[in-house]
Amino acid sequence: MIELEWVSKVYKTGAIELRALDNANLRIEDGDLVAIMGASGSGKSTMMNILGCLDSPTSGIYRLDGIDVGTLRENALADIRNKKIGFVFQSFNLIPRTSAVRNVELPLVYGGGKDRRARAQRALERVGLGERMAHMPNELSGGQQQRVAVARALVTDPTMILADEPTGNLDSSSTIEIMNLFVELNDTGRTVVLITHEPEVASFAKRVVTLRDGHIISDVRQQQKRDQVVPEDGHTEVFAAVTELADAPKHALDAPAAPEVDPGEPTRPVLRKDLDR
Amino acid sequence: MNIWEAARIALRGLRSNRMRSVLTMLGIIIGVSSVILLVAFGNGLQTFINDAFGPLANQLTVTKSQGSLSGNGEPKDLTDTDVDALENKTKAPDILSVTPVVSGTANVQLSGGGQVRGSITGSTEDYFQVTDREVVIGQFFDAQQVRNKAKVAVLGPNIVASLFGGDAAAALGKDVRVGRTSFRVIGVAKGNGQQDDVVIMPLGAARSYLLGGGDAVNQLMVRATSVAAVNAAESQINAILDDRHKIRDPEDRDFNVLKLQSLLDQSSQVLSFVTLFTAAVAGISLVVGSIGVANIMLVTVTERTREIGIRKAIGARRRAILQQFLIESMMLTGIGGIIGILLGVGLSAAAGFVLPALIPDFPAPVVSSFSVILSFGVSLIIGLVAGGYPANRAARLRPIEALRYQ
Repeated sequence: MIELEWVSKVYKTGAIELRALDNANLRIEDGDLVAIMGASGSGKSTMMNILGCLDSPTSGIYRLDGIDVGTLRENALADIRNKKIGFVFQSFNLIPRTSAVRNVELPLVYGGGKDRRARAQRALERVGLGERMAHMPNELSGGQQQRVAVARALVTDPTMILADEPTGNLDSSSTIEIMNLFVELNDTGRTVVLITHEPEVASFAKRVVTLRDGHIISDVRQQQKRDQVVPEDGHTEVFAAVTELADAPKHALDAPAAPEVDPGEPTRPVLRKDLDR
Repeated sequence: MNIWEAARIALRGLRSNRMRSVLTMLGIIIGVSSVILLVAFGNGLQTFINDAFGPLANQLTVTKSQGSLSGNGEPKDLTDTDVDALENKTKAPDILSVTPVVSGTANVQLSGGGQVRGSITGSTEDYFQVTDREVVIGQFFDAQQVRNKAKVAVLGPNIVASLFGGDAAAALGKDVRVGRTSFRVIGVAKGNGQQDDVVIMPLGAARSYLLGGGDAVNQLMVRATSVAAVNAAESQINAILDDRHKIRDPEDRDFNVLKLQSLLDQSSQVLSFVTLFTAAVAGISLVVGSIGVANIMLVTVTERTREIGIRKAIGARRRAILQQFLIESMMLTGIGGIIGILLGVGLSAAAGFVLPALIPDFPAPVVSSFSVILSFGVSLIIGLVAGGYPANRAARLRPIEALRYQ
């Protein structure tokens, strides 16, 4: 259970005062899949930092599982991040020159616990990377790296998986893969909070919270898009159709990510159209 | 998060930048090995001197003062009666033996052969033991021969070299003319680098046939009962000779007492200063090496700011980050220290093998275990100090700022 009560965050740069978040109230029940949307500068990154206990609010109360996070000191915050929150970042943020399984194991190293290697391996299998445990991040495609990051986020069995633009650096096929992974994780009862500005990513959520200028301007429940669940062979029909329509080169699922898939423009609009259908 | 996990992470950090780690270690390796090597050289020299002169440490030498004395006129000669007085066990309980020595120079000649100027030493049978001399061949004269003023001589190696072409065996048993008297060669002394052109003979023989001089003695070689008793022996000598020479004021003494021990102490003190100084110079390279470590650790922390942010985001406490970088820098200096010790010990051993072969009598370096322990300890401390500031900086980074760092 996540509760924000009258949370404000004010940045001061000299005489200029910026209210990145202005008296925001938000309550997220366990097991929900929430997308937090907004243009850049809307305060969604600030909200993400506060939700992730990376930053503390200027005023207001943030309660995670009933704990008032504002009263906690540095070590306790580190433990909260370790045990209750699983981060997935836009730029993957894996530790370089460290194998996939070691990356996934890392939160357990800091948090302690038994059978770390086995748990890390299970988490990697869970995201479909059982074959690539020993690979270094630079030997993995963007989609695979993000799946490692998801495995790392869920290995400690956290209350909430907090994903900050998780598909921002991914091509369309990897985007669908990762989003399906979040849907699956949510189906097994895990709370997922996504920060995004892409409507097609938000369409996977059960609930969409929209921010503008530090205020929550809308908060709606919606019908979750579930028609693109990745089949066992890993190729979605939607994806196959997209690449044919766009006349783009066919990409295997584990082809290196973003740079090769022209950063979006020829592919993305088609995908959007397709998703809207 | 235990220390082994931190160590594993640190080791991976070092391995991921192998070249840089090795170059940084090199500074420590060179520093530590040169400290060990130089201290070993100094130590070797010290050991050499102690071995060479240690047996003589209980010796005192009494000589007549040179020149005239203020007020008291000419200094009195040391005489055989002085010797007898010093050998009095009740008055001088700390004196083990007194060996009188007379000396002078004379021509030494082989009949039908060459001739050479030699320095003549006349003494008693104790002389060889007191001066720690050994024979190459033959033997020294004994008490009987001293009493009989026997015309026998032990030659120094330089004399043998001049007269017998260095063949000690050829010299043995031959007669040589020293001054105008013929002496039989009963032994050849091993060289000691100081008195090698010497002809050693019984005290009485030297007086009767060569030097004259009645009962005067040039030098008294006194042995104390132990090294610890040297000072007591000195004051007994002073007391007895003051009494015999009727001296009231120590300023007016007409004799000098020289303790070999104090010479040894002085030389070993000078040597230890020299060793300390060279070690300090080598220590400068260790300091330079440690600056290199601090520098590289700062670079590492800056370079890995983002990684630190990630680690903090997934729950690393400040202490875990601090440990990671401290252990990393201590591994750098610790491993560097161990390699440096191995190198220093290896080089010392190699020098002990090679140098004496190239330069005869060169003292082999002796590695001191103290310098090994000290330099390893110092290299660990360097790691702690040089890594401290960068590690602390890393640990204090705020996670959001570290994550944003590009």
